[in-house]
Amino acid sequence: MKHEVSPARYWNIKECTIPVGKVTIIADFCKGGDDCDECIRFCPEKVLDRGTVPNERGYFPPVVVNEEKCTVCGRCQLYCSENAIFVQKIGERVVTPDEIGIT
Amino acid sequence: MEIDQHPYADLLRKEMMPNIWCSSCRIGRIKNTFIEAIQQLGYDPDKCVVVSGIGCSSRIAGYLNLDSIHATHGRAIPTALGVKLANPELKVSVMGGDGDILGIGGNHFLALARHGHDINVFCMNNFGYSMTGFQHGPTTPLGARTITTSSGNPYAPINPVSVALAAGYTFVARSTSAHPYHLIDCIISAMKNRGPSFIEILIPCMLYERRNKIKSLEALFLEKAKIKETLSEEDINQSDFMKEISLGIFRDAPVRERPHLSLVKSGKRKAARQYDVNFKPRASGIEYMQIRMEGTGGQGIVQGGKTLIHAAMNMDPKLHSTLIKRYGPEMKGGSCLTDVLLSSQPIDYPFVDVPDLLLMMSDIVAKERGDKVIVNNDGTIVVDESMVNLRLLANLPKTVKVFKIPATQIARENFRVVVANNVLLGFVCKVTSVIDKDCLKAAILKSAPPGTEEMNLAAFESGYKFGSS
Amino acid sequence: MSNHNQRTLLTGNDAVVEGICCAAGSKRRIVYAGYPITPASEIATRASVVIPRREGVFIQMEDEIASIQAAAGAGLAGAIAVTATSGPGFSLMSEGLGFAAMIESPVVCINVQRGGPSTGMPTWMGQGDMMQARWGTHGDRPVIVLVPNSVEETLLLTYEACELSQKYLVPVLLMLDEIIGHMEEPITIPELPPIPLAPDVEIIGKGHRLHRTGLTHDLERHLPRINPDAQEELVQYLLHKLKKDAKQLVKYETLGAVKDAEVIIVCYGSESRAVRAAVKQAQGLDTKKRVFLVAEINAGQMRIEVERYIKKGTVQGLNLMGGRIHTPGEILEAVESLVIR
Repeated sequence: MKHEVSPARYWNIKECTIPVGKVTIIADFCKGGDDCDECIRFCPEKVLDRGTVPNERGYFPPVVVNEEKCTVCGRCQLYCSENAIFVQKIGERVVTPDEIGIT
Repeated sequence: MEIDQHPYADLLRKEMMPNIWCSSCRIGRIKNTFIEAIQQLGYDPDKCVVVSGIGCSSRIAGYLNLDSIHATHGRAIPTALGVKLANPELKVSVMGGDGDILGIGGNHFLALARHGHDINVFCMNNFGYSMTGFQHGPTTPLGARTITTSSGNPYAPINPVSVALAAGYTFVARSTSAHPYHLIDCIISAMKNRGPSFIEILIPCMLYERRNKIKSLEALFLEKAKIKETLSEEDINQSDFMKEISLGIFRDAPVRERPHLSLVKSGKRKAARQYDVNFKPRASGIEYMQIRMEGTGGQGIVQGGKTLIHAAMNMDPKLHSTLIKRYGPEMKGGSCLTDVLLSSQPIDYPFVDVPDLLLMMSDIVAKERGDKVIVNNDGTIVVDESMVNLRLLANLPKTVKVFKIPATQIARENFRVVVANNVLLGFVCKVTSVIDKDCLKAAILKSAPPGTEEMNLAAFESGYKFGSS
Repeated sequence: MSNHNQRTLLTGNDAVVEGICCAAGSKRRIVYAGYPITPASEIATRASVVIPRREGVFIQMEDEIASIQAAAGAGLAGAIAVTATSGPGFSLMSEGLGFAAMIESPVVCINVQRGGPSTGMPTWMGQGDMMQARWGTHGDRPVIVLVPNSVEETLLLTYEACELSQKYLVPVLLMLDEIIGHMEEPITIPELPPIPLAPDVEIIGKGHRLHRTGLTHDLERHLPRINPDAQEELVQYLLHKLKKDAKQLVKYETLGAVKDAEVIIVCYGSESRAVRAAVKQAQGLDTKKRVFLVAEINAGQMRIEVERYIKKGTVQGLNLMGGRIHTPGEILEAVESLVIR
């Protein structure tokens, strides 16, 4: 679909590399829990999971479980109403043929 | 702090965070899409202004680190317009809810399209007034329960998109909070459009969901919404968002060039013949003089009074003068009078008490007064005898000087009725020696519309001649 | 045409526009946002011709609420922002004036008063908006109110209104009345220096990323802070802006020996012209004690204010409900009724 394309700035298609990201969660800002789990639901790589430790306001911020999988698509930071999560590009790695289904 | 490394950090007002919205609210996401759009467009944040009204969504202005105004309820659009007019290089956006923009601010919403200035209106439609506990609003669906329509909303909602299209917005789109990437595209296109832009953004409200027993509006938006490249009449007229929602850009039109404000006025005039009357100022000898000109609206009563003052100013630059006009609401046909005071000292009380010189162009004012003609006992009356019933003058003391001229008749026969006042002034000039002839002629030239100078002067001369005979 | 005369014949309404132009000079941007209403329409008429020629903007808004809001926005964005209206429109502007005071936007609002309440007498004068000008908004707010009594004074006070609004960042009200607005007098348009504008840090669009809100806010960054302490600090600050300079701001004229006078007539606007004419005739009156006679065209709005401040002497009102001002004869009569024979 035309509109569901991640911002091109994160991608380096020529080199066949994808970004490696670092996910930061600002626990104090988060209003996650039963009402809101957008970052977890919309993460295409399942980097995040529901948290079990409440923050000071009684919400349950998510936890990072598969940080190495993060491709810095930026969805979590765009979807998060509270700006409690963001990703930064920390490097790049070459995509393995297995990953994109070329054998 | 961690938030400083956030990619949006430059555009977030960090000291305001965390924000006030409910935990499942999506207004914050709209803020993120706006930030993303500005970053993608590469606009200088110092030149972007966000104006908002009152309501949940209007709080966005406080969380954006831009020049922002959090205005009164419903008045975001005119406030934004003021900013834009004062500094046209700014990119001005309005953020607000449906109640703010379409309810209390509906008039401003329509008027902005007509004014046609480059202001982007982002209307977050959550189907009601959520900040006050969810009362029904202009977009609440038929039958929906709110705290003021507890047995179902009986009022049909308005369709923001079709209203915006009809009003004449040059950019109209609809999106939802569940489609942020689509929304970014819409915002970018809206910001690029040089006319007034409007985006309806559907957002879920927890209060609406609870009261109407909907599990998740966001899931509903994702399920029912279709992003379309081209949109038809049916897409515009969708009445039930529970069945189908068409998203996309309904209109992205170029802005019609408008003539610049200052150019409208200065159309080329025909070069009129230059008339010139030379006059010499002289001491008028006037200590204090009250002149009243009365008649029917449309006879040039006010114009006549102005001509007299201009003539007096020409004659004696040191003379003090005031002019007060009185007329009813109708432009023509009602009673009308002009009080002119001439004095060698500064004038305090600006009304004519008892006129020394009364110019009667019709008897309507005297009749309204109960057939009374007020004039100083040793004063002068000049009467347009073609318009005034002369019986009114019968009871005046003998000391009052009365002069008669059929001014309107002369004007009608020789020129046009509208110059009757100048015929009368010509006559006045001759029979009383209050004002110098050349000064009066210069004053007539000053106020005559271009192209009619000759007729006005000729009318004056004919009145003057009538006085000589 | 030979022109020996530098004076131009202007109405009070015309003089308002000339005053704005004097204040703006050649460089400052004027934004005039208005809505037609008798008897203030002539201000808009002239503004629509004169202001666009000076690179300013004239815009006719959809209503008075929009007019004052647009002016508040324009003032905040660094323009000389003006709007003009009359009684009913002024009532609609109340909220906007409070907003302008709260966000500290320099706005000049001209009210050409007519007879009220409601639609009242559109083409006849009144002075019944005076207390509305002072208190019309909910909450306490700073305000400067100027009342001219001649065409020339209208021009000078409009200039001063623009200057004061930019200096103190408050809405300034210029309360004309219908007589002054429609009266024509020949005046000489003076050469006045353009007024200094508000500092850049108070203007949006200059890179300071300001936030302005109608909510109770802190004084430094204007971010919402809703608690009793913040409210106390904010409102006190807003009121103190004018209180500290009250001595310079209060302006009045006197005629005659006020110090020893037995009868002091207090008046403003067009009524003061009749009073001046009367005072020139009245002399050598004798009363038992000092009497303040407050002459105004309303039911005694300023009389209450005078009563609040006068400790010695009695205060009496001389009132008309609108439509006309007192004649000098009526004022003399009222004065003589106070005199012991």
